[in-house]
Amino acid sequence: MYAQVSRSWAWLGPKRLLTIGTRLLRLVFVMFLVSTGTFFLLQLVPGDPAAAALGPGATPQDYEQVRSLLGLNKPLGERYLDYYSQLLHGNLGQSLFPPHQDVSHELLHRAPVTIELALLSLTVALSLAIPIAMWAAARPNSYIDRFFTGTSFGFISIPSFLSGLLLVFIAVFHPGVAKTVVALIFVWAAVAVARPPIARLRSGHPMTRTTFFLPSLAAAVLLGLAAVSYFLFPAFDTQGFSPFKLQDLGPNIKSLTLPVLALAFTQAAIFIRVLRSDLLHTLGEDYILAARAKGMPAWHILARDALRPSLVSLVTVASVSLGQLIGGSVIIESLFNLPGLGNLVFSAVLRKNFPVVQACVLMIATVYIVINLLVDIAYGRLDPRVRRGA
Amino acid sequence: MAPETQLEVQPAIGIAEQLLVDEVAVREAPSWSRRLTRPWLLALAVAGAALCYVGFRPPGSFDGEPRWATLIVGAILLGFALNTLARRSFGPGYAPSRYLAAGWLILISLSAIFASLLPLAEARNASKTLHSPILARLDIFSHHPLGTDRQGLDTLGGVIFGFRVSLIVGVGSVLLGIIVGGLIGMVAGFYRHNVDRVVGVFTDATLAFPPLILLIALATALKPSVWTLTLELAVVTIPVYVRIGRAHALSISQREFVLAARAQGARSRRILLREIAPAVLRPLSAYGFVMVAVMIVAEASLSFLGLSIPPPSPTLGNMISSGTEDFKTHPHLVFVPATALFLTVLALNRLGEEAQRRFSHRETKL
Repeated sequence: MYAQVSRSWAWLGPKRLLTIGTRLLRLVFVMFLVSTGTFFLLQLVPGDPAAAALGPGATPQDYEQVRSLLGLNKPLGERYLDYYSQLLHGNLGQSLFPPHQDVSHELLHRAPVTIELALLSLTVALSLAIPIAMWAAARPNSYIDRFFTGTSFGFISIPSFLSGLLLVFIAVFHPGVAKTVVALIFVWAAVAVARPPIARLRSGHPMTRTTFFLPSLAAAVLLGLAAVSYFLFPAFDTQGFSPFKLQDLGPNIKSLTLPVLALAFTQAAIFIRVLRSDLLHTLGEDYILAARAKGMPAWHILARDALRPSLVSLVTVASVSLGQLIGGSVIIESLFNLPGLGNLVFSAVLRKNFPVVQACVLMIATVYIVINLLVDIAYGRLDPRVRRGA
Repeated sequence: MAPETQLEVQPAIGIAEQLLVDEVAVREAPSWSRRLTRPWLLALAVAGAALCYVGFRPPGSFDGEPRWATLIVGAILLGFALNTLARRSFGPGYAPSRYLAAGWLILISLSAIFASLLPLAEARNASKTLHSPILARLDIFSHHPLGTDRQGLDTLGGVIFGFRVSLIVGVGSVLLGIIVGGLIGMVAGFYRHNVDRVVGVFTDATLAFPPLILLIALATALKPSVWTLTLELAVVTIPVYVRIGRAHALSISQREFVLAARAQGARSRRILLREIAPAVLRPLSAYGFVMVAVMIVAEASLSFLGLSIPPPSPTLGNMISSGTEDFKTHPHLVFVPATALFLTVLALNRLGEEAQRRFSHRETKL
C-alpha cells in the first residue's frame, strides 16, 4: 500500500504545502536582504562609477550630466528607494558602459552560456560518478575501490583553476600526450570491465545476459571510445567560444569541452565519495543481506535495491553544486574566455558597472535559493523516511 | 557433534553472512602485488631512486618532457616500492598518509614562520635580482632549487612567502569564524525561537550569495592586505560556522548534563559558557581543517584573478597567474606553486577527514 502512495502526488499534502509556503515567504525576505546587501556593499566600493563610465578626457559638464543621469547626486536613501521601485517594476537598470543596453537584455544574452556549462558539467560529473561509485562500493577495500577513493580524494584537493590550467597544458600544449593518456584510460577501463566475464569463460560458469554479454558489450564500447579518442582527437584551444546552434553542435561542444571537464572532475570526485559512503552504508543493511541470501545477482542488488536509498546525499550535494556552478564558475569562465554570467559579473565589478553587478548577484542568488528549496521538497519524494518524519 | 548444534542455534542471517564472507575471501585471492618478493621491491626502489636522481640532476641537455617523464616514473616507482615494503614490515595498521600530511603542514608552517631566517634567494624585490638568472629551470642542487621567474625572482622563496600569506589568511579567517560564528550559532541554538529566526534569516541571506562573487565584491571594496583578506574570508566562514554551531547547540542543549546544570540552578549564561561551549567547540574545530583548506583555495582564486595582494609580494595565486604568461615554454612557473597549493590542500583535507571522524562521530546524525 505504501509503495502505491509514494508513486502518486499524495505526499504533497496540505501540511507540506504550508511548509513550502512559509519557505517561500522566507525566500522573499532573504531576496530582499540580498538585494539590499548588494546595494549597500557596492556603495562601499571606492571610486566613482560616473568617472569610470566617462573615462579620461571628459569635461566637468559631462561629469555633472552623467552624475545626474545616474542619480548619483541624490542622497543615499533616495537612491536606494529609486533602485527598489525600479526593481519592483522589473527594471534592472542600464549598463553604465556603451552600448548602454538594458541589464536584463545582457543577462538573457549571457545566462545560456553559463547554464549550458553548468548543466553539461553536472551531467558529465554524474555520469562519471554514479558508475564509478557503484563499482568501488561493490567490493570495498579492493584494488579498484582503493584506486578510486584515493584518486577522488586527490581531485577534491585540486582547485578548479588548477584543473583548468592542467587541462590546457595537456590537451592544448601536448595533444600527443593527451590522446595517449585518454586512450590508455579507456583501454584500462575496458580491461577491468572485461576481466570478470573472461574469468567466467575460463572457469566454465554459466553465461547469462547480465554476467557475460553486457560487460563484454561495455568493454567493446570502451575500446571503441579509446580508438575514437586516439584517432579523432580534436585540436583544442583556450580561446574562441562558439555559441550554441542546434544545426551545428560540433564547434560549440568542442569549445566547451575543456571548461566542462575542468569543472566536472572536481564535482565527480565529490560525488564519488558521497555516493560510495552512502552505498556502503546501505549495503550493510539487512534487506540487502536478505536479497543476497535469496540469490539476487550482485548487479541487481547494486543498481535496483541499493542505489535509490543511497541517492539522498548525492542529490543534496549535486544541487548545491549546480547552484555553485551557475553562480561561481567565474574562474573557469575567465580562464577560457567564455561569455557567461561569471565573466560578466567579474568584469562588471572591475569596471564598477554597478547596475550589472546588482542584477547578476540578485539573479544568481535567486537561482541558488530556489534550487535549495526544490531540493528540500525533493527529499520527501526520494526518501519516504523524511516524508514520514515531517 | 558440536559444530552441528552450533549451526542449529545460529540464526539464518548468521549463516548467510558466513557464506558471504567465505565468498569474498575466495574472491580476494592473492593479488599480483603479493608475488613481488622483497628483493624485487628493493631493486624497484633503487631503480626509482636512480631515475629520480637523473630527473633532478639532468646530465647536459636532457630536459623537457623526457626529463619530467623520468622524474615522474622514478617517483612513482620509488613511492610504490617503499610503500609496499613498509606495509609488509609494519602490518595492516600501517597508514602513513596522516603522518605525511601532518609533516607537510608542520614543514610549511615552520618555513613560513622562519622565512626571513632561511638562506633563500631574493623572491620579493625585483631590483635586487639583476644578477640572478632569468627563467632558470628546476635544479635541486643549485642556488635556485625550484628555478626563477621572468624577473629572476626565486620560486622557492616565493612559494614560502606565499605560504605565509595563505596560512595567516586561512587560519585567521577560520579562527574568526569559529569564535564569532560559533558564538552566534550557539546562542541561536540555545535560546531558539525568535533569536534563532532572526539569526537564521541573516545566515540564509549571507549564504545565498555565491561565495566567490561575494569575495570579489568585498575585495574590490577593500584595499588588499593580509588583514583585510582575513576579514573578507571571515565574512564567508562566519555564517557557515553559525549553521554548524547552531545545529550542535540544538542537540547538546537537550542532553542530560545541561538539564543537570539547570536543576542545580545555573543561569543561562553559565550553561552556555561552561556546559555548551566546550561541547560545541570540538566539532567546530573538527571542521576547521577543511575550512582552512577551502579558505586557502579561495584566497588563491582571488589572487589568481588579481584581487588579492598584488604581484611584487608573492602569493601562490599571483605566482600561478603570472606564470601563465610563460606557461608553454616554462611550465614550472605554474606547476611549482600549483603543486605547493595542491599538497597543502590535500594535507589539510586528509587531517580534516581524520579530525571529523574522531571528534564529531557521535554528533554526525543531526
